[in-house]
Amino acid sequence: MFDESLSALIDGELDPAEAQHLLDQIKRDPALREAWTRQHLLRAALRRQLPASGAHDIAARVAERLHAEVVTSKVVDLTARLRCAPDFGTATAAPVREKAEPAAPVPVPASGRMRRRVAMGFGLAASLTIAALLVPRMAESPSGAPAPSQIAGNQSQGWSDVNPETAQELNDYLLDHHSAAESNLASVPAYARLVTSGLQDAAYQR
Amino acid sequence: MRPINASFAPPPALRAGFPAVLLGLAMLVQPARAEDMDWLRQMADAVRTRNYQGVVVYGSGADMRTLRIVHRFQQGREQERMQTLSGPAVEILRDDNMVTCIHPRNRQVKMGRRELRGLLRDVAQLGGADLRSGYEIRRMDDTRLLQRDCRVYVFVPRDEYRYGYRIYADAVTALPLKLETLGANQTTVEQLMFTQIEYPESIPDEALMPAEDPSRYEWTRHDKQEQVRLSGASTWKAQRLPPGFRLIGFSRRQPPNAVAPVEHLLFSDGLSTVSVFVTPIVRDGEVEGTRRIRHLQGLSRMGVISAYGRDVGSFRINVMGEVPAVTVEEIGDNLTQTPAEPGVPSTALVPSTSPSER
Repeated sequence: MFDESLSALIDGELDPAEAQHLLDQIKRDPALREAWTRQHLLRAALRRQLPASGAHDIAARVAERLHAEVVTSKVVDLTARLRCAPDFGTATAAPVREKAEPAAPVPVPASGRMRRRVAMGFGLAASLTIAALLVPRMAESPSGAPAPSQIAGNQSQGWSDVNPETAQELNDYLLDHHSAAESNLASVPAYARLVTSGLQDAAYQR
Repeated sequence: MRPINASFAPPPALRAGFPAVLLGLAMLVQPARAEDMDWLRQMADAVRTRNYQGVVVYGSGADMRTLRIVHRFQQGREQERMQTLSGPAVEILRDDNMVTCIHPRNRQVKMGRRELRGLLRDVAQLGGADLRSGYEIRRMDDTRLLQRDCRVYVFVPRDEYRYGYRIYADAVTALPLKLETLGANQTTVEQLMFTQIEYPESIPDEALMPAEDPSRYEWTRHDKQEQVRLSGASTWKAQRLPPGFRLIGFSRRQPPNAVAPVEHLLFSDGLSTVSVFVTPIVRDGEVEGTRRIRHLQGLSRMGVISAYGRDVGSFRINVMGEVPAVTVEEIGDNLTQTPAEPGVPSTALVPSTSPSER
């Protein structure tokens, strides 16, 4: 039964509430987490997308990230809802927090707005889950040096071997470059690079 | 930026064939046919002209982020919203060439109109021969992503001057759903992949609005509208280019209070692009406006983007593109300034190998 549910989760065929319930179980149950990893590895092998190594501990790292991100988003959503809607009605929740700190999920009514936010949270969680296992391990540098063993942190990349003023100047040039080279397939990730590198901030400081 | 029609650089001698990893996959690999080249053009077009929205995972080296993207093309107008779902909250809104960056944490909004936009709109201008001179283009077995049939194309570089690419495109819409940049030994050095995708018939205006109300943020506008666009040919000449690269356009503009125009030259091999920026030198230690400038000397890198800086006479040259360092270095080291000849573009190419016909 679990294999079937795990398969449905991977295929995105569960509704958000079911998916979240199953993700919670995966986080708590080491045996289930192992089964989930096997499913992903099996599928990845069939699609010849198997990461070079390190797949077996991806589950643990993604689970940790899921907890931090999905649960945090739920607390933030709930906090916003309580502040913005005095008549929140039947919501049963922990006390409102000023900061979005990781905490156990709290049951909330499936209102339209909250359902959308939960769905978005699920979308994020599932995306992280799927992507972490399907994205092949990437080289740290284009030269092919071995990639780090852990999953990405959230540190932005920056220009190597330059001071901050020079980096800002390069960022501005890079925006001009991407603007001129739009519609080139190799530039498709251009704005993703800009967003994740912090460039969008530096480019407008000149 | 104006496109330039110039004779393309001839293809180099072929190197060794497919990397062993591709052969070892035992997939049916077909050489690219004419219809495949047309499909590649459709892919480039789909990125700009399709309505789509979804979640994207972007990874480069040790960095991985998730982003939500909403893209609308309506009555010739392209709009896009990109929002980080992991890491620091950032939103980028694009409305044709107006770019707005919203930072909820800093409570700041910065807007600017990008002067040069969409030069490389039409991949068709480059032609299949340009691509083939730099890459072996192969179609792999079709596959499925996100429950959608996908065509898979691999661009294997013929030399060290460019990265390889593996593109998975939706067989119905031609939108790339997954794009991998490949480094040495076919290792993936950058990846962008949709993990959710929808193609709505229409996208409401609200979907392109920011998540947070920025009306009480600090707003700053940075434009280059005060710079005057100049006509005429560039005075800079590429004495030598890596095989397959050619000049496809340039622009000149006169910033206020600058002693000389700023030039932007764009080179491409049909897939990768390299920009050269030529600016008058402001000596290190002098103040330009209200800020000290420190210019790049030598090489730098950010992910798959390489940059190279050097001085030529009283000008600063900055070269950058989604290419290996050797490429920006070769282009930068071989740029020279020549006297402009009236009515004749001086940005001619000197091929690095013997010429051949398209």
